[in-house]
Amino acid sequence: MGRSALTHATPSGDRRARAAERTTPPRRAGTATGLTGVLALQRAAGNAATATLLGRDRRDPAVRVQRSAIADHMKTDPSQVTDAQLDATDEFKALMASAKPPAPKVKAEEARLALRLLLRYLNELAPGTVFAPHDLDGWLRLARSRSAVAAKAEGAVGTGEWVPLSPVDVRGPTTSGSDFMKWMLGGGAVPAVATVKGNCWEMVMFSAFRAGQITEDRMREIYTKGQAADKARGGFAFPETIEAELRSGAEYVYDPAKAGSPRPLRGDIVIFKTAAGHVALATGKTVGGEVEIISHWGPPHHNLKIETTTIEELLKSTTGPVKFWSPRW
Amino acid sequence: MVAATTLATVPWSDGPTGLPRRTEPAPQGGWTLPEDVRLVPSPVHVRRDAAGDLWVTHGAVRMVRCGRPGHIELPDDTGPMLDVAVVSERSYGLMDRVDEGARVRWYLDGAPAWERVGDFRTLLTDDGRVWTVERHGPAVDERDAGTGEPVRTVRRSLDAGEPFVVDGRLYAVFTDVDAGQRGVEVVEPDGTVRRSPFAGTEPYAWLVHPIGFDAAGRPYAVRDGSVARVTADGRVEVVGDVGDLSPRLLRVDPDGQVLFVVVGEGVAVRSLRLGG
Repeated sequence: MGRSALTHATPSGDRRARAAERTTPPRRAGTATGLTGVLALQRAAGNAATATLLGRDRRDPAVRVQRSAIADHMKTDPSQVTDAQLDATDEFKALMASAKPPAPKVKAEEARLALRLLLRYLNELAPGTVFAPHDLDGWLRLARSRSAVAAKAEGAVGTGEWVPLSPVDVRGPTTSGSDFMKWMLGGGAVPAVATVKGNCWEMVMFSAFRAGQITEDRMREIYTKGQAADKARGGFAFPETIEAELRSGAEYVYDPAKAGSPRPLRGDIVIFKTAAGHVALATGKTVGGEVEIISHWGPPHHNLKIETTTIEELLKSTTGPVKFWSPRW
Repeated sequence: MVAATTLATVPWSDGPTGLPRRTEPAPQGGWTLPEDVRLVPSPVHVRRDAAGDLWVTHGAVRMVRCGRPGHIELPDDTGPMLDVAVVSERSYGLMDRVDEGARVRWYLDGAPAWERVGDFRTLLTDDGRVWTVERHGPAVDERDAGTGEPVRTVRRSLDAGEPFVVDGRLYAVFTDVDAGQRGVEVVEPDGTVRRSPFAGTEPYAWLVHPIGFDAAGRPYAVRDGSVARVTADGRVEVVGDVGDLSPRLLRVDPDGQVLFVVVGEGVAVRSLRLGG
């Protein structure tokens, strides 16, 4: 039997990530004692208490706690793992016990998002890849940064004014109807949040910028790259560049007619067919049995301001497939 | 398969018996090439009043009664129309979009009675009673038709979809995403909630917009031009065809008559009446 690659599950882009390859034995999925759980317990209760508990656990089956690990849910889409299933994992308990003052308390929804992102990452690993103990703090940071972007978009609901983009805007950005385009390529100033004019993906990018997750330089780099692509190919080259530059990881499709369909996680980028069609940001919630998004467009309520709506509502006015993925800021 | 029949046709006309021809830009995406900009007919709402007459409007100028003369002039400041409800030629409601949200205006004896702006999803009426449904929350307010003041508030489940009123009860399809199940939720006038889940993937696949309910509480749905209803035990009965239907235009009468609109050389209201 050949040796499997051994990957330390750390969020991509995390500056504090340790070496990607490790040589320690992988943790077996579903083992009774999770290393992360033990470490958290040590931090929370101290070595003596941990040793006592583990010792009792070995001696007395009556006090043995039924344990679960995130790896038990591998090959399940993270949106299909229930809150209750996540809350039962060692990793969830470790995350909830991990923050010590003055660090901010870990909220349950943050821990769940961190674990869903970790699970998505694990599911996207190449077959045969196994993993070492997870960098839970790193996944928590990623969850918080994604949530911050979504929160900025949610906070902007009722503001802004949607305008469409076309090749005319890219080729003459100083006279674009989009404040965001003027800012990126036309020498304009940072737009005012309350009145910013822009299109759907510009709302998403501006939210990430305001949340501190993407820099002005990086956004301008993307727009400049798109401008060059438009010059070379025209047509849909600009939105195709935006789509490619903001994509991280695998692409998923949400089908409202299919029970068990993958659903976007909080902070995922959602597109309708292509970025040229429509781009929105997932809140991670279901409302009325529908998947909630923050959208900047006219449909479905003739509203040119940023609004909270659902994928299902937008599908009354436009067509799918509805794709989503983790953003790359 | 049941074939559709035409119930009424309203001509394009500036006169009171017709609707003025209206188009609007097709929804443009975030990126629009000049050659993709096109105009499409404005969507037409069709409603049945308490006397059984049909009314149609595309949100501009007027609503027109089908079958016999009658029309309702819309206010000049009407914004994009989100919903309409008609009790009679003299009693009706309009819900349009304004900057602050959705605006409901109710008319009695042909004159404005009250107006509210809020987070409204739909405007419902049944036998002269009026309900406004919260869009981002579970509340449904039954309102005094004369004053607009809430007389009763009931709460639907958070997973309940678009609501319909039948005999004073609120019906909706709910979606339990964790269980992978859809079903019917009924909210009684006293606020009691009853839920009946459907087993299997077929009702789940069918019960997405557009849907409607008949008086027996059976949901109807349209998928790829076919019409089906779901029986109480979760069987999907595919029973008719509506062709190339714009999906937001489906209505279901209490007696199970499915109404839809075809826009061409006029506005044709077509009907599909299913047996049973």
